[in-house]
Amino acid sequence: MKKLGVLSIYLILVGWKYSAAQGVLDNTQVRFFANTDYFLEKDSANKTTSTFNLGKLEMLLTSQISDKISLLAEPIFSETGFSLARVMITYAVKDNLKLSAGKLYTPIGLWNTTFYHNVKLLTPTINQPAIISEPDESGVLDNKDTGLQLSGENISKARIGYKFLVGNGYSTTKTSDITTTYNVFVEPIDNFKIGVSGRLDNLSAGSLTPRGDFLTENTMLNLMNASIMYYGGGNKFEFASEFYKISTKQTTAGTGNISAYFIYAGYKIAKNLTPYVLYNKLNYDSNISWFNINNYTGSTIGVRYNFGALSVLKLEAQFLDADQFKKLNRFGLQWAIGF
Amino acid sequence: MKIILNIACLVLVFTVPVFSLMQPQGGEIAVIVNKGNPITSLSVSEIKLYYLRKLKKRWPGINKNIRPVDRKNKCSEQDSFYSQILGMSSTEVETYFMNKQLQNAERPQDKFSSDSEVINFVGQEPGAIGFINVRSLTAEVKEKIKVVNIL
Repeated sequence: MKKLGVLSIYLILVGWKYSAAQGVLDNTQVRFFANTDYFLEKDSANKTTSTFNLGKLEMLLTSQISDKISLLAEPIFSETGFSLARVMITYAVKDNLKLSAGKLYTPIGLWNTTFYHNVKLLTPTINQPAIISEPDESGVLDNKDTGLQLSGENISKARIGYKFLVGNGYSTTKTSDITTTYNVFVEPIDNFKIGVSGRLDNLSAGSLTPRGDFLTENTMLNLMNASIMYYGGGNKFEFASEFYKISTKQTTAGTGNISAYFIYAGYKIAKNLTPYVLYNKLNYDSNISWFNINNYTGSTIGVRYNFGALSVLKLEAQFLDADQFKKLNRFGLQWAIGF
Repeated sequence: MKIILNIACLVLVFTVPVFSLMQPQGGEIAVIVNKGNPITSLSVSEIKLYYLRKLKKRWPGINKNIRPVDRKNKCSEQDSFYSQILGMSSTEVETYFMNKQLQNAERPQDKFSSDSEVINFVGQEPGAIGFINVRSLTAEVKEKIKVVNIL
C-alpha cells in the first residue's frame, strides 16, 4: 500500500511538472498542514514539565482524474521520517454508490470520519478523544484500515448515509480473516447527524497488533458504536458525543470488555472565538492484556480562535486521570496552520 | 398639517438616496449555470444545497459533477452570496470545502478574479454553478450561460 501511495504521488508530481499533463495540473490540488504545541504539565508527584512539540507536516494531494474517479494521498513528514496516513482511490458510480480502495479512515463513529488525525487546523480540540486518538498517542481503535469500501449518502428525505468496509483490521498477518466495518447514519436536519457503527475482527494467533503485541491465541473483537453530532454550517452551537463498547473473546482468557464515551460541546461567542469543553472516559476489564491499556478519564476546558480559515490557535486546560500517570493537570497551547 | 406633510416629503427625498447608497456596492447578484444544464430555476435553499454539494454531488439530468465557482478575492458579490444564500462567513465557507476535500477528495471551489472569468468558466464547464453581478448580464453573456435566480 505504501508503494501504491508513493507511486500515486509520483505520478501526480510528474504530471504536474510536464505540461503535457495539463489536465492533471488543472484537476490536482495540493495543501499543506502543520502545527506546533506547547504543554505545561504538573503530575501527581507535583513534578512540573514544560514541552514544546513540533507537530507533523501533512501534505494533502487530491486529484479529480476523471468525472467519476478521484484520488487522495496524505503523506506525513515528521522528525522520525515519512509515512502515509491515507491513500484513497474512489470511483463514484452515483451519489449513493461510491467504491473506494486504499488506506482509509475506519468508518467508526462520526468524529473519526469528520475530523483529521494530523490536520489539527480542522480539529475542534488539541487532542482527539482518547478512544480514537492515534496509536502513538495511546489510542485504542484502529482508526485507519486498508481495504475496500462501499459508501453512499443523501439517500431519501432522511438523508441516510452508509459506509461498508472490508479490510485487514488490526491484523498484519495473512492468516487472519478479513475485518468488516459498517457505519450507517442519518442527517434529518442540516449538520445534525445520528449514526451507529460496528466492526467484527477475527484475529489469528501470532497476529501483530498496531501496538506491537503478538497474540498468543485466536481472538475475536466485536465493536459497537453510537454517535450523535451537530457541527458546522455556520451554526454557533456545536456538539458531538459517542459511545463505544468493544468485546474481545479468547479461548483461555475468556471475554473482556472495553467501554468508552466522550462528550464535546462548544459555542461560538464571537465571529472567530469558540469556547468548548470535552469530557472523555475509557474503562477496561483487567483480563484484556493485548491492548496495553489503561483506564482514563479526561476533562478539558478550552478556547479556539480562528485567524481566518487557515490559522487557528487553541488554548486548553486539561485535567487527566489515568492508570499510567495518575493525576495530571496540563495547560496546552496549539497553533495550527494550513497553506 | 401642510407643514408636517412638507417635512415628511423632505425627509423622504433626502433619506431614500441615503438608504440606496447604504446597499452593497455590487448590488444584485445572479446565480448562473451552464447552458446545457436542464435546470431552469433554483430557489435560495436549493442553490445552497447544490453549491455546497450537500444533497447532490452530481446534477440531475446531466449526471455531471457539481462544480461550485467562487471569486478569488473578497468582493461585494461574494459577500452577498455568502450572507444571503449560504448564511456562512468566508472562513466557514473555506473551512467547509477544505473539510470536504479531506474527507472524500472532493474538489474545492474553482476560483476566479472577475465576473468575466466566472462567465467563461461556467459557459465551458457543464457542471458549474457560480454567481456574478447582475450588471455583467449583457445579451452576449446570456447567450453563454443560464441564469437560475437573481437576488
